[in-house]
Amino acid sequence: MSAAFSAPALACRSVSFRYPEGSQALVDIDLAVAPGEFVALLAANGSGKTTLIKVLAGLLAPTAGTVRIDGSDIRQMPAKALYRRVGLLVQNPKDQLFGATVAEDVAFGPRNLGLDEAQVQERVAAALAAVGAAHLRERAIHHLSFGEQKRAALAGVLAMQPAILLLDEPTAGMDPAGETRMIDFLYRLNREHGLTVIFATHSVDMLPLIAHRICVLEHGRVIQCDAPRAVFQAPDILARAGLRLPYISVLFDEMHRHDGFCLDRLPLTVREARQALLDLLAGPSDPSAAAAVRHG
Amino acid sequence: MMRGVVRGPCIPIALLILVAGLAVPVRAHAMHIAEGILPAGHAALWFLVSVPFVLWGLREIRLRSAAAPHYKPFVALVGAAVFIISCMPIPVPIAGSCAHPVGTGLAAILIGPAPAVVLASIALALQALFMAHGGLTTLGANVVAMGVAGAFSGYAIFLLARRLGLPLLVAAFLAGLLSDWATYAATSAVLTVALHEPGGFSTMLQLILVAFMPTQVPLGILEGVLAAGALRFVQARMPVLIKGLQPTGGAV
Amino acid sequence: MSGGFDLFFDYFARRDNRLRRFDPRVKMGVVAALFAAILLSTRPPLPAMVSVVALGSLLLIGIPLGLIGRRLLAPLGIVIALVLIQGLLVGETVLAAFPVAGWEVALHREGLVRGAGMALRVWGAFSVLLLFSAVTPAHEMFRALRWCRMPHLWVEIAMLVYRYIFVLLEEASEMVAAQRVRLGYAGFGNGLRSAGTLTGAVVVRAMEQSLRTHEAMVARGYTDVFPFGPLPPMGRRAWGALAGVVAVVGILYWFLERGLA
Repeated sequence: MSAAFSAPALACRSVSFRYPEGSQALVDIDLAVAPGEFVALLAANGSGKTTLIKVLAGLLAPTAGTVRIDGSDIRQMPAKALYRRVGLLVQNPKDQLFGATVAEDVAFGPRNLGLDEAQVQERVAAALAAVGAAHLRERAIHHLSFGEQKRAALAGVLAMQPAILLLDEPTAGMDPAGETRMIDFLYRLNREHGLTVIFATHSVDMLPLIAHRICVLEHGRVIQCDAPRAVFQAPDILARAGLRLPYISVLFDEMHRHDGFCLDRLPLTVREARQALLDLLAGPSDPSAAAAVRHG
Repeated sequence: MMRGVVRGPCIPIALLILVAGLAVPVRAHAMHIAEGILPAGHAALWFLVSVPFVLWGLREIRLRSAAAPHYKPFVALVGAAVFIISCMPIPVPIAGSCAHPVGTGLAAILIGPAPAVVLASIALALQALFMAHGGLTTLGANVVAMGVAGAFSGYAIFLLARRLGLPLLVAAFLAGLLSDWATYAATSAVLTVALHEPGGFSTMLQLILVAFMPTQVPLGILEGVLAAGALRFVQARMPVLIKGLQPTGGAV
Repeated sequence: MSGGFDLFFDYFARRDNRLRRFDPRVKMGVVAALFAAILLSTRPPLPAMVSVVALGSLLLIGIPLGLIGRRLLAPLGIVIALVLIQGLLVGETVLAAFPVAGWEVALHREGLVRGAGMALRVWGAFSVLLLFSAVTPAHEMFRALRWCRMPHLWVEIAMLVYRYIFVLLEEASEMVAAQRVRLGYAGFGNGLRSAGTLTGAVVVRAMEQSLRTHEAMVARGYTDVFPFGPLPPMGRRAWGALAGVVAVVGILYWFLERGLA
């Protein structure tokens, strides 16, 4: 998938990071993300994904290695130039919302960019409309629900109009409807508006739907970085990293292992799974599988 | 004016006991000077007294945040923490009601006395506006009592205790205790200056001091315990925060 | 823990009503004029009248009576103490005298009257303050303060303090709940220990939060100065309204303080 993309929008080369108290959070990370690519950093808690996101955002300086954005080392870039290109959504929206009202908070970034007030207001309105939060405009931050805070925080990032979006667990703590809406929105940002997205998460189920590539982190190392289908061919590696297949794939994987269910490929999404079942029920093109289904 | 109040030779102890008894059920955070008590001239005067301290604090925050950019959010968060601490309802055993610590001693230890005055002015303004404690016209006087008197006395005793080689927790206890009592004394003095009759200064001061003694004396001790407890917790969990508090280091 | 915070007026200040829609600078000016009139007043009618109007307005815009009552109780302590102290120390006319612990203590008419006058002024000023905070959301107050040339840094820190009070409060409430269900407040010694831990935990959380907040600010282009938007100029109507109300307050003051004499 990544072959289709050109020179990397973001590249990190042999990046390591060690916290001052001595814990080694990242080890020798190499990662190149092409413009318009959607990359998921998949990792269990404590595997270094938040640290990696912060390093990529220039908030932590790597103890070794370099991070480049559009070819230039981010440590040489002035902050304004950097954050015009890169937007960061942190995991907990309350870390990121410090204005008194939603509108004031969303305007924080554009004002820091030195835009004039008419442009600031334009961007605020557009960003709030994009995340479906126009009605929250004048609300106080502390009167918002968690999902609303998440959307307000995202609007604050989008108002800076970054080309690269770094997201740390953007769906953590959201209800199913909110999660679906967020994923849908990120999908459109990436596929329709061409934003490059780097998405740190530990929840696997929606990744096959949106990610071009999944990089699996374990103890601060990238142990695998490939298209979802390839990554999910190796459930053992995932399990070692404290992760699993999407649930729907777990079902088929177990049917394959224990019930002799033959698959030419493991379904990763509900749609693929449904198709696989329909194919099976429609005609016994594969007698053993049909037998297995009847047997079950 | 003062004739015939009490038939007795010395300080009217009975009177003190009476007033003290009557003031006990009252919530102790009345120790902030309430809106409207100070006459216009006094209110203005205390504002004038407080302004240079607030400006000093702002200047110090500006200088320090130029050196360490995260200092400003840290000051703000300490402000929020102190605000919350000062709203913790704490049972005062003697008064049997809820009182609250002022937290400026702790703030002064963490961020320095002058910035702590800035925080006191912010906390007092927010409390006046949103919680009906203190007031806007009395803001200047309260900043002087809680901010200036509380922060500087707490900080001074903290430094002194550290120089004398007392343990951190003892120093913190003394800072909490003294900042609370200094606030209490300064508040009483401000009230007396504003309200006393000609010639009745000392009697009124004694009366006001005694009236609030049942809540303020245990509260000061409590505040000392809290400041020490807080610092012990911080020492265990985030020693970086109090690294600068060693005897030789002085300020953070 | 959240007990004290039930009284936060913040929630009501966002409800729409006539007073809410006024320019906050006008409201601030009116409050200043009323405060001046009350503090300068020497007789009861002015503070009493202001108090009645302010409390009536609070009821009219739908603030629950119970809440207003609780808020008005806050200054009660200091008021009672002052009235009594005045009654004991000031005046000649003995209203009541009684022995306390072998001494005879007397309450005086003049002192009580003087104390009551003070109490009324406190009440009046307090009602104004309550009304103001019930119809002016915090962000508008901050904006008005900036317009009044309050130092940028003070407003900046005040805004952050205001914002993070709610965040820390939430966390502190959870910690208190966690302590309470494990009997952290059973008994005085336990309570004290728990309160000390809580205080420390709040400070540590504040420190951690400040680092995370600073990072998030930097990631949105922050360079040591919080960017505020431009302040809209005060319109002619706003100036007119301010001048009108201040004039009314002035006339009232003149009439009630001097005219009746």
